[in-house]
Amino acid sequence: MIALAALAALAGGITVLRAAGARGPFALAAGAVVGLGLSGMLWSAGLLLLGATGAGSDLMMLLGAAAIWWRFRGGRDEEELGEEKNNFFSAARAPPWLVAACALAALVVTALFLEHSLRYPDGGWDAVAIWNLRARALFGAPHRLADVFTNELPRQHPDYPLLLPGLIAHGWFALGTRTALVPIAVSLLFAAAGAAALGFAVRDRRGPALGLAAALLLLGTPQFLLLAWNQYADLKLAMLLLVAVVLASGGRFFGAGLVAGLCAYTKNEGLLECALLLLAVLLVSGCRAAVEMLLGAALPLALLAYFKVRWAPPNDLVSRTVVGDLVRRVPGRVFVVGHGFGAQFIDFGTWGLAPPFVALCWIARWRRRKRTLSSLFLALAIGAVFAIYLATPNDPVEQMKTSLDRLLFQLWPSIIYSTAIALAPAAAPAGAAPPRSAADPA
Amino acid sequence: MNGRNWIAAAALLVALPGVLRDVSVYFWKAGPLVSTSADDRFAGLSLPDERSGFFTDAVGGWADRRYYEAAYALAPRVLLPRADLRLVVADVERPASIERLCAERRLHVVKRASPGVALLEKD
Repeated sequence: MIALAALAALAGGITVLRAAGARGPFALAAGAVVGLGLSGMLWSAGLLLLGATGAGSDLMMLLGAAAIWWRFRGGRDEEELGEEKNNFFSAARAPPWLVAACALAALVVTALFLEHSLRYPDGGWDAVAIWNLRARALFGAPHRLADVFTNELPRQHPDYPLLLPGLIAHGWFALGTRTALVPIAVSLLFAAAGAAALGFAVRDRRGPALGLAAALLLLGTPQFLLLAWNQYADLKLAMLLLVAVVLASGGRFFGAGLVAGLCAYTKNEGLLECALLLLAVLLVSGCRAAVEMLLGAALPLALLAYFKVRWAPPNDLVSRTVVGDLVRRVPGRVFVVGHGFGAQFIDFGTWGLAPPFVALCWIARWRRRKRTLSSLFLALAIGAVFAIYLATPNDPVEQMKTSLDRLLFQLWPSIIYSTAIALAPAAAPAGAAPPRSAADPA
Repeated sequence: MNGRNWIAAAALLVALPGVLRDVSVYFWKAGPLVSTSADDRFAGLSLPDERSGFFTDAVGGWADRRYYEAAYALAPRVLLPRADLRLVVADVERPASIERLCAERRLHVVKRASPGVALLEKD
């Protein structure tokens, strides 16, 4: 059964990505990320709507993948996103020292992930108190959902959506036993496939050297390993958001909408990020593109709405926020929140030097930057995160201490992608025509 | 080297401290490679299908941590952070706290998973 679940996730994800126009290694890596997300969503949909815990969601996904493959077979060759034959970078080679450095970094990070996961198989605090606890409840009491979503355990955040706990519980049902290997494997797969997707997405548009540099930058961000071995949902959300941003940047709005909807079904912040990506699409590519994206997001958003209305108690931050208080407290917090952001900028996720490097790239090439959908989305998203801390009913200093690095990490792979695309020139070898898309020309 | 390779070299320099930081974490962890799970601490305790209480003598964040580790290990049973229910799971720093709680709340030990972890029941 676990083989069927894995096959369905991979086939489903890759088929969706290929239907959205992705090709080559990017479709494989991003397909794995999206497939895991779809698997968690469909399984939890089966449980919430029908009380099903079996392999039905996997069979549905395989049938859906077959239908999508049949519908899109052979078509859209001239439009494909990142396709080898149209890619004028496919002939370019990365310098061997860069390939070796990236491979070594990947090896070290993977070894450290495995060592830490053997030592602490339960993961970090949020994994124990939220994600894996919820997965255990879904696995142990799938037909007593009132107990699973009880608000008697407030730190468990019973209003958080179900993609990750659903995916883990699905893995346990498929294996027939509750083992720590499933959340560990889920975390490893999201991290590895996400890093590869970032590298291939940049490679497809800016060449192999920058593709490897982007992956290296992510691997060298300590928060990446920390969130992976702690089994937190922020890493999963970051990777799904990256794929949504890459698809939207390539003008694949339906696919981008579906993946952005999966973001909304992963964490509450994902809903905000989904809305902001939709806004960026609307501003850059117009109404028709935004409607296409919204249609893509319809299924996960409908499931999220059902979960929120039927099962989830109100979000604690939202329910404690009063408009009158907002007006009073926001002006006095600008400096405090700015200071918190400044601290993250200098020392992102402990020893992370990459944000100043990225900022330097933007400053150095500001005049020659390209106005892209992804950079607009990220500007909106960083502004929204800033606004969250201005508005929070909690002490913003305390809340930033425990969450700002994770919220920024959710955007981090997309920031690396956007930086590479917006700042590095897309200059092609002589005679080659650069690939174009509606959202991000060249 | 062309411009892209220079950017890649700069990215390598920026990534290097991060990877070294990751490696340094390995050396902070003392001792042999031993697996530590909340499940081990509560092994052998089984709860019936009813709300049970939880007690600890730890304070602050450590109390929260112990409570959620117990809830995690004993899931899907729902544990509440109070000691006035028929069944109470105790996870304490000082084993004497269990005896004190039993005397105060008229509880007795049903099963002990370790000196500091036990399932208690009302007399």
